[in-house]
Amino acid sequence: MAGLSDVMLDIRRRQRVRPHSPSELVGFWTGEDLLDGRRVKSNTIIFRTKGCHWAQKGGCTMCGYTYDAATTPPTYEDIMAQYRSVEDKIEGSVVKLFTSGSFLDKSEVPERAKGEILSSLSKKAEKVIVETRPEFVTDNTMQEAKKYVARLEIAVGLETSSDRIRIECINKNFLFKDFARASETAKKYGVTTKAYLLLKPPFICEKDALEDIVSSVLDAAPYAGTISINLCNVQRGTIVDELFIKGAYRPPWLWTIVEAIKRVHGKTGSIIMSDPLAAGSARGPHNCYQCDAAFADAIRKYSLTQDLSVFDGLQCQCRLQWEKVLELEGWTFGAPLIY
Amino acid sequence: MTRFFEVTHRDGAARLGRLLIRGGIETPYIERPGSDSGVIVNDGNALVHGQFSCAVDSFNVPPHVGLPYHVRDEFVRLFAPPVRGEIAMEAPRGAVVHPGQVVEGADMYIMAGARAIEGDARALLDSFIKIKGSAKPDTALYVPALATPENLAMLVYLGADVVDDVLVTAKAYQGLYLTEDGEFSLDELSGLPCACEVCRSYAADGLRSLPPAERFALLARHNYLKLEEELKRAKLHVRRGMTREYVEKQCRSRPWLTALLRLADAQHDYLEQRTPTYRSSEMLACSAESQNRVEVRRFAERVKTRFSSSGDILLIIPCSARKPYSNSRSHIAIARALGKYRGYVHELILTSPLGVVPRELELVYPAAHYDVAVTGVWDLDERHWVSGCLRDYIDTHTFKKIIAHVEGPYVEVCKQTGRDMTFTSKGRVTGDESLSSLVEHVMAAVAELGTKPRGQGELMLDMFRGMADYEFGAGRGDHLVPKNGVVKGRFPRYVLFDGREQLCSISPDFGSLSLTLEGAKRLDLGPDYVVEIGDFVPRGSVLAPGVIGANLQIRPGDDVFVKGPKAVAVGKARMSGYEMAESTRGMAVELRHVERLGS
Repeated sequence: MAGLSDVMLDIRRRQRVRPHSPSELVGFWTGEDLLDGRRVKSNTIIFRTKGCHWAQKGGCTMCGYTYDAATTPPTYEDIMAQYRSVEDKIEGSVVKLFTSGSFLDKSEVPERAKGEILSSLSKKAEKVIVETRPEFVTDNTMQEAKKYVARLEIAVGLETSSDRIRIECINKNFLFKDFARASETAKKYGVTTKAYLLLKPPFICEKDALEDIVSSVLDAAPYAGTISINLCNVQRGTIVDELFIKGAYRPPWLWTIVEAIKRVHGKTGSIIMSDPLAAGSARGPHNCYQCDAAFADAIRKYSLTQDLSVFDGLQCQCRLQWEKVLELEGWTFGAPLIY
Repeated sequence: MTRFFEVTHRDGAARLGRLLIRGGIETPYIERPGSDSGVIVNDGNALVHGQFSCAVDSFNVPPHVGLPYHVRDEFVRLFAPPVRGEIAMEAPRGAVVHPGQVVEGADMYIMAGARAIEGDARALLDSFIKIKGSAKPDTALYVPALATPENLAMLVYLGADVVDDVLVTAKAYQGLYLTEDGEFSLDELSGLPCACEVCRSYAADGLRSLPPAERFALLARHNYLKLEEELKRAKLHVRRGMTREYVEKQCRSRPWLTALLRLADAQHDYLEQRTPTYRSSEMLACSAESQNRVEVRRFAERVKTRFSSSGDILLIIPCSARKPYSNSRSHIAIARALGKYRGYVHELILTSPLGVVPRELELVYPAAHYDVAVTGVWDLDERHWVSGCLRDYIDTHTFKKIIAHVEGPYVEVCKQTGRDMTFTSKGRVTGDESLSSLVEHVMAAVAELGTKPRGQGELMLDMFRGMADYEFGAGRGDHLVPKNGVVKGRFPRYVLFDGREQLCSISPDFGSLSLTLEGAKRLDLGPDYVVEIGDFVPRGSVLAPGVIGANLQIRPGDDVFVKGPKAVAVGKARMSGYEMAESTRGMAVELRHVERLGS
């Protein structure tokens, strides 16, 4: 029987992808982050690689990042050219390295490039965060990375602590215990862990999504000093996109993330953050489209301050709509109640 | 098979019934998930919840992953509902189904994610057809989170037994004020066009100035009351057998609902399989869609394929408002003018929307039961349809002479057939000049063709022959009506005898023949219109569980021959043949005469 991977492959085959040069970065920007309780400048670099190995086998149901992959696999020189294009712009304490796959996967980032980039960054920044799937967090990779950079953090897309949801809704292809093992392996080498969680994967209703994210934060906290909650947005060429187009998916309400944060605040020792990407659009997390900007601001502010009072001023009569959605969406038996 | 639901009334796909829990709950029913009175226990998403409920006085919906209509098949297969064994059989069970799935053994089927196809007429119709096609006919259908006062009648018309107040509540909290003919933002209303308890207590401004929680709760109350009111209205029309008439007007509130009705007509089979052949209710043809309703199409189809008459002269005359036509002033005037020459012609009545009605079938439903908006102007569709029916009739018969005694738009319709005919009317068909012209032409044709007349008795026997052909299939009339048959009674309550043996009578109320056992035997019905029953002698009625097999042509209202090892009987079908065969509850045939066999 065809599984989610087959469907993803089918969707990916049909997706028209713009050709990308192997020597051009996907993106670079600076922002703010929280480091040891301080607000610091941070840098985000997204490398263009051959793409996530799991995405090439179908991959996750919400992930469209793989369409940024290079048409031909970037060589050591290509990756270094990407790095050099922004090297001089990097300033501040934190640098986050993404590949839309795994920075530690040597088939994405050649070992030599990885070493050189990390060692260059160790001179520029206090802390380096690398995105990776747990299978690349091994004694080897940790030992190797630690050679170059003193303060390292792995960022793993755990998405949820529910194996059923991670496997059957997201098609993530790893278990909670794989995440826990990765975190423990990292810890042995003094490497910290950041967990990315996903609010509202496809196939579940708003209330189940809220409850899942709350328990996921609590479950992940012992393994992750930082927990970043991604609010599912609808990326082209994904199962989530297909469901969205057919009226079968709605991104999460911003009320839900606020409620989730309120419920877990102070219950963990971890930093809880969320970047409400695409908030206020139909394809992104939204409430009633009137109050979304204020919500997005408050959520960003909370991420930098961990101060619950940033939500105090938030009011909108769509809260009552959202409460009805929590109460009744399960009674649509498979469709959003209010889009 | 179900022990927890029973259909009590049918009107096409629409039905009234009872959920057999808590002493019986009438359907169509509005489930209210937010309240304590709900009859459905929803175990939620299977990916998150694992607990199976087993309440004996509720419909238990096991953990599921609901998928709306348009998702791809792979998901439907991937998230197929879990197969449950014996445990759940003790308690009423609901199953969440995608139209692409076949799930057996549930008592209630829930149309997954119907909310996602609000406004998508094609998808919704297909969902009804597929789910109804795979579920047993005596199980309940729940269409969740879709009902509004606007669309409820249409959902009921298509076969929904359970709906809920979920969407009207959600809309209330979006500030929407619902009525049966539209939804309005509360902000745009200057007055509240309703007399429910909420709208009696508040003016629009007053409602608007309330704090949101209170305002939305009151809107939700109003929306629910409108939904409930619409449900009561829909039930009334189902009971009256006038659901179609109601949805023909109710569907006007939204283009997609009108589209839904038209698509359902185009699908034909779904409604046809469920639509009674004969009934006592009036049939109103007030909209363009009336022309496509099952009763109209079926009548035309049967006139074309089942009915035939043979003679020299065809006389085409216009319909009359009064039914049966023979009782109308215009038809009486024509009959009087023709006098004895009436026996030389075969009369055919031209009418919209039925097309053509042979005189022999004027008592048949819906020929004697319809009423139509008359303006004297026929639109293109009507002309095209009626002239098509007339052309078919002319071409499938062998009349030598065709006389059209018609006026106004009927003339055009006759000419549009492109067939050769003589027009005899000078102005009004009942004018003296017209009538004498008619008689002149008939006399001339009779002289020219050497036509033999039919006597009064023969005309009446032909009515029985024609009706039997129409009801039971071409040629059956000759089986039923003996050459020397005798018709007694006053029009239209004719009774047919063979000597002293009564064979059948005409039931003008229902527009059908009413057979005696002897009549049914002579019709030699097998396998059409035969219901086979088990090893028992039925009394009064045959219930569905007693039916072993039933012919698939059978529709509610048909006279059927009931046959079993212990008895034969004749009666009126109360459900369609496919339902008799597959149902475990309800009356299948209401018996008229029973005969015990041997011993």
